[in-house]
Amino acid sequence: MTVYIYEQDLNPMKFSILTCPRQDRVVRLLAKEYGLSLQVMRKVMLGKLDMMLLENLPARYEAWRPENMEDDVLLSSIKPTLLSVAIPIIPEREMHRIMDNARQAVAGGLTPKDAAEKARKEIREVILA
Amino acid sequence: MTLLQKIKNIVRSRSIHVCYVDVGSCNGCDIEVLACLSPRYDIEQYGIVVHNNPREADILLIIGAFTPGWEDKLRMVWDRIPAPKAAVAIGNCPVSGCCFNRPGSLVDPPVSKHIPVAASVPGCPPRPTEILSAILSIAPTVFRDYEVNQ
Amino acid sequence: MNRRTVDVSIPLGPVHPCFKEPARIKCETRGEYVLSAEVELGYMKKGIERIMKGRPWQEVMFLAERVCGICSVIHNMVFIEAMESISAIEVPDRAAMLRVVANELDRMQSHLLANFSYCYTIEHETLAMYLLDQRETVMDMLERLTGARVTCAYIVPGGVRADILPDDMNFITSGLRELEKNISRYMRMFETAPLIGLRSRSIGNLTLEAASRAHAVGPTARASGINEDRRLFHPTYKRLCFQPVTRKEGDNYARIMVRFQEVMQSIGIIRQCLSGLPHGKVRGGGTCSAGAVRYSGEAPRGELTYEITTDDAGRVVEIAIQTPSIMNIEVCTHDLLTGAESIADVTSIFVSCDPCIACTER
Ligand code: SF4
Repeated sequence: MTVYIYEQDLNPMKFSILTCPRQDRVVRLLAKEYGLSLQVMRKVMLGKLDMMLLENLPARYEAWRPENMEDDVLLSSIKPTLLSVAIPIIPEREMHRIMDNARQAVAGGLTPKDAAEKARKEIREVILA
Repeated sequence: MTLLQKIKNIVRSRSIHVCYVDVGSCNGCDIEVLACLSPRYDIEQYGIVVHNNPREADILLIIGAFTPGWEDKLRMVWDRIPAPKAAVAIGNCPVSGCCFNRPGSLVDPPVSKHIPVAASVPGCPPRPTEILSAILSIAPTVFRDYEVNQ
Repeated sequence: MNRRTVDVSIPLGPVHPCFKEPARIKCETRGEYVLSAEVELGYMKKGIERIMKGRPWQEVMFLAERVCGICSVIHNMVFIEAMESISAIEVPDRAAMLRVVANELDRMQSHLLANFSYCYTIEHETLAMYLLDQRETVMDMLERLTGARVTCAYIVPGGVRADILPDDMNFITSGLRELEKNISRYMRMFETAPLIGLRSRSIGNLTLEAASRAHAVGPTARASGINEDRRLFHPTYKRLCFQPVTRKEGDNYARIMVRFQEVMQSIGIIRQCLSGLPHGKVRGGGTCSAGAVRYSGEAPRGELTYEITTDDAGRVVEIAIQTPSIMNIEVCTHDLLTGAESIADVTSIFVSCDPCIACTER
């Protein structure tokens, strides 16, 4: 970690950004989507995103488009690019690993729904780690 | 008055370096200060140079209604400025908080709570000419015979 | 946290000669190369959205203007048009045209200011001062039309505050003629100067993908080839057959040139409005009522969105503002500054995106 001179604690400011109406809506949506509590989701975001990304959260969320996901149950329920590209709280590498695992599980006979459920659990673990 | 003091007075009256800090404004006053730079108002013909560098400034223009981020930093900027120095508040914001001073907002005006303010130019925003004349009228009162008055 | 070799970490700001407003950019560098950059905010957070809540529209109208002093007309316009669309208030034709005139004058002064800052940042002070001088001409026109230089509260529900006098009309048309001549000259200067080219061309390349991922808007996006402009959806601009300016390059040079071209375009739009100005009232009147809307308009820096919920008495119950600078600064720090070839370009790239910290933090 680099240590900067005259650094101040940015968390109160970040928190006030995160609780603005639009940001709040997105955080609540994401928390519900991935089955995390609101507080945990907020804490994760405060830790992993910088101030500019927090400000831009709603716009990035809206700009994120589900790319050809309708026909793929796995993709449409895990939404891999949402958490790795649009709102980068999971490294893309990890996301690929999770997706590969899920695909293998489906190939191994698991129903896509169960596989997606398992993938979400993994995502939760990665987020909380 | 010594000769040295006379020379200092003359030199100081023709070279006023200005630094402006924005402590949470709407930007309206910022650009009016910037407009003073334009050839129309030509701030430099009065010997005023806008450098925006506290270490070589004589006059600090303060714009805005003091947000929490400046809590310790404004003091630091003020301490960096070598004496003799003066702070001028531009606009309603540093004086009263303008329209931001309402329950629930984050601002903490007036700025004179945090550093000594020598003059203020009310207006939302004041015209560039007003800013200019404020700087020109505050400068002699602060800088003339500074060492004698100490 | 994976370890990286960092030579120096350079904090720029909050008080910096090149920035009009306080922002702090923290750059981690290896040699000249910028490994990562982060913009630290919090110097301008006033909490406007919080104080807007529960206040009548008459007050919020003035607060909305003070979200950003540089583009105050568009904040006024978007807020009032959102209120109008909630309460189904009709605007007289003449007022609609005058709104466009005020808005385009505002856009011109904002773009000229942005280009001034860029030229000033790359230390081309002559051109910068020329542009600032032209901006004063535009400010004069704005003052003649609305009565104030900044924060003029010209647009009110159901029309505009005051009609344009024939005298002012002549002043604006003759001013525009002068302006067109000068700006095209400065534009040519910027276009052909080899040293400006060295500091601007292929510096800060923004790709189309990165721009659309971060939802970049305004001239920043249009310089990367995204044909997006909220004015395309505005009824008055539709009548004027408006077409946005786009360029393909996506570098600093393109962003500044897009602004220059838009200034020229604005001159055309104002002329069109003034020559075809219909006769009639400028204030129709109406009552603000309850409802909710999401309304966007094109600010000088890009798409500006207001989400408003009001109650029966015209009080604002819920409000959320999304300003263009949020997206532009974000894309600028994460895609342009990160990986910039030289630390010396950081300020010029940042300024070329026309950042406005006051609206970013509100
Ligand atoms: S005094 Fe008015 S114009 Fe100046 S910064 Fe404050 S709100 Fe903006």
